[in-house]
Amino acid sequence: MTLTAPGVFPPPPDRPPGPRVPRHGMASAIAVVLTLSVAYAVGQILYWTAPDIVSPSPWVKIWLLPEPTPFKVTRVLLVVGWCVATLLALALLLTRRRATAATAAPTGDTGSEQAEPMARFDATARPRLTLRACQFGILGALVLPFAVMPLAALGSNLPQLLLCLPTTGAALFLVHRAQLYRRMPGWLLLAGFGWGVLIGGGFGLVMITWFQRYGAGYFLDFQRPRDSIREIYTLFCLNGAVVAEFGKAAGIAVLFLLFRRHIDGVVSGVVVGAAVGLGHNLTETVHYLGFVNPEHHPAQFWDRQVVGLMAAHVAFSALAGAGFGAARWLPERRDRWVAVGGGLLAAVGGHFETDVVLMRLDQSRGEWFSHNETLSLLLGIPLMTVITSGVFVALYVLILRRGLRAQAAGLARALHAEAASGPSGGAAVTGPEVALLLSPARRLLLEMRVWRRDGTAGLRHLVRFQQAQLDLATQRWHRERVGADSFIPDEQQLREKVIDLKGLGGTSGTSEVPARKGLS
Amino acid sequence: MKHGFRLVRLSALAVATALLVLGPSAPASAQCAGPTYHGGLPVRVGACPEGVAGGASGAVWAVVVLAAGLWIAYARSRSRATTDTDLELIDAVFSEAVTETAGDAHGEGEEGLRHAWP
Amino acid sequence: MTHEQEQEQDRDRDRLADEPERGPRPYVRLMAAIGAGGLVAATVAVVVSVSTDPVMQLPESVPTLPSDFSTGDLPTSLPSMPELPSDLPTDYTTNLPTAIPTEDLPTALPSDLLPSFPTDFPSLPSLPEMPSLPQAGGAS
Repeated sequence: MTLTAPGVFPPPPDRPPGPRVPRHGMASAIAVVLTLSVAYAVGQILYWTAPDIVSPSPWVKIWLLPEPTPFKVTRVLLVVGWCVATLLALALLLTRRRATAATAAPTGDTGSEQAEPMARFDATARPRLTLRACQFGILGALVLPFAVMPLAALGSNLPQLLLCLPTTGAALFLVHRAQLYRRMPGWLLLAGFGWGVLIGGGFGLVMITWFQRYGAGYFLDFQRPRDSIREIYTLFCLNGAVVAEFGKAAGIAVLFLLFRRHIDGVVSGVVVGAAVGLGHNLTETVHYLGFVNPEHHPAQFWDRQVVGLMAAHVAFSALAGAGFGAARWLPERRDRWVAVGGGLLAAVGGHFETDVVLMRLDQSRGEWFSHNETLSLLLGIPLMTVITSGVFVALYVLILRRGLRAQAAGLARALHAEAASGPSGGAAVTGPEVALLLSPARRLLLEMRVWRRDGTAGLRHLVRFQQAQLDLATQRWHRERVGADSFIPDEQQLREKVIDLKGLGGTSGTSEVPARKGLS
Repeated sequence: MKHGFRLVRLSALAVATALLVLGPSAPASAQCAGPTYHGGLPVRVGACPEGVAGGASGAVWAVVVLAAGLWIAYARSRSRATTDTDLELIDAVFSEAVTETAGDAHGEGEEGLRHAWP
Repeated sequence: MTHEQEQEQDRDRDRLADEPERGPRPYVRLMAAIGAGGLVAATVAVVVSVSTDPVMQLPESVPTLPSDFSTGDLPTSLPSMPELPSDLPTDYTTNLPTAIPTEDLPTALPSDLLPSFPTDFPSLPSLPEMPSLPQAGGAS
């Protein structure tokens, strides 16, 4: 995988060149992350200008609690991060200026023409690395301070974290394998998960803390206390929904902008979104478990890690991710905004509605089952979850199914073409393998068989090989689409990769051949 | 027609939710409270049947793991012939490549191991 | 049916199956519809939230307030309160509880309490700055 694929790949000769997609990946990613900082600054300003809260009533008492220490640390670190980012931006400008000066260096005599490409390579390679380092440094400096509050919550509740890891891990594995055909690299999924745990949750917590500190000042009206309390709580839930979903969506956006080569459709979009949602859910669960008495933990675990695991947070950010994934193949900017905006609206609206309606439904949950506590917990909580976020869960499952079906059809065509494309194609994918590659169930059973026979090394090699073949076919399918862009990698490189992995024989090959000899 | 039906379903859901929610609320102070997703300060949790919750969580996960195991075992037993064929196919694919490069230096096999997938 | 005809049929079926992604603008209408659904959900939430009382939101365990913040310590410039209506608890504004009880708090605002709130309630001076308490349940 190359982060810096140079230039535009020449289009295949029998097709007019596709629309040029702007390669503003890193710049746009930094812009997205800057909006998080801007939102934080807005929260700070609103807090400074908020009127004082003068009511000691218990209903607004929670707005008067002092700043938690992690919040204070976050505030300091954010300012530090801004300074670091500014310095790195300056370094970036200097490096870029030096790099362009080096490549624009005048070439005098012809004798040095042969040496020139080498000199240019040397002159641009190191600055390019520095450029990359500066860019990622800026991203990190702007984003990492938000991780303080989740880290504090996770760190001070380690037993609870360990309790939730198996369930979240299993769900993450399920999300990974929900990509029935071509799968994105594991590190990308983990990056999304990590963002959800640290940054998504952190940004949400920071902004919610801000609102708790200024909300009542603006909106509590002593003349109409009841209405204004209703308004404050409505705005509180709305604020929570907006900041949580935008924090998560920012992660999806950054990963999409930086790794468009891998996020190539609604399936990968949903999967990345689901991973971010799972991370956020983990942080929120541990956060809540840390607040309540340990004797109340089982009920919270049931609510958040069993019933609601694939429901609330996962559903909302999966829909946001679907929007980003769909935007990959939309050449028109307006269409891209509609797709992404639709996903975000669904996420925010769903989160807001779930919060509000869940709390109201909860008040009457006891009556549904004649105050039978056991039934109310075992049936009532799932029923409430279905009522509030059922629609959104159904939506993301349907989109996933649709995307997978489209992938299967496209892959079938591409694999048949690849197998039939003569000696070079036949080397990568043989005819009999096509049916195997198109059947996820058969591949799974084969993987288990190979695991038993050749161990983990053999399994890993098989998986890598088949994923390389599927990647080759998927990119071939993508090349024929409307909206095909320059992020589709070079066909020959992918084919060579497959042949490399096949020609290795590797650990499974050397152990398979003796086995065959043994059989014969 | 389809849009109309969807609209009817949506409005029915909205009305049902509204009726459910806007009905008189019981002042049940010790009632077990459901989860909140707004990430704010913790809501009063109330007295939930914790033993039931713990047992149910464990039971659900045990059922899920068991179901997955059973499905895999069933699939394996049912399609054993297909898996055998697939295994032979994969063996053939790899051994073909090995015999193709058998003519080259043996060291290439070891070298290839270093070109791991990035 | 010959093998080629079967293959042709399969390919036709495949072509139809990935029809949603073959079009020039795949998923645009679907995402717009999903966004509209989100908007509907948000509207429902606003309507519900503004027309019903919120659930009482108090931390499960709050540290006891420091002892010097007792009822007698309100600033002397506090104007005398007007006569509160009789159905208000008498310690409503003057006696902050030392530890929030978790069991017997009302979960909804009593409907007959606030409408009878006097409209000319004088504004209280701002509370003395509370000394920094350990954060309720928060990690430090």
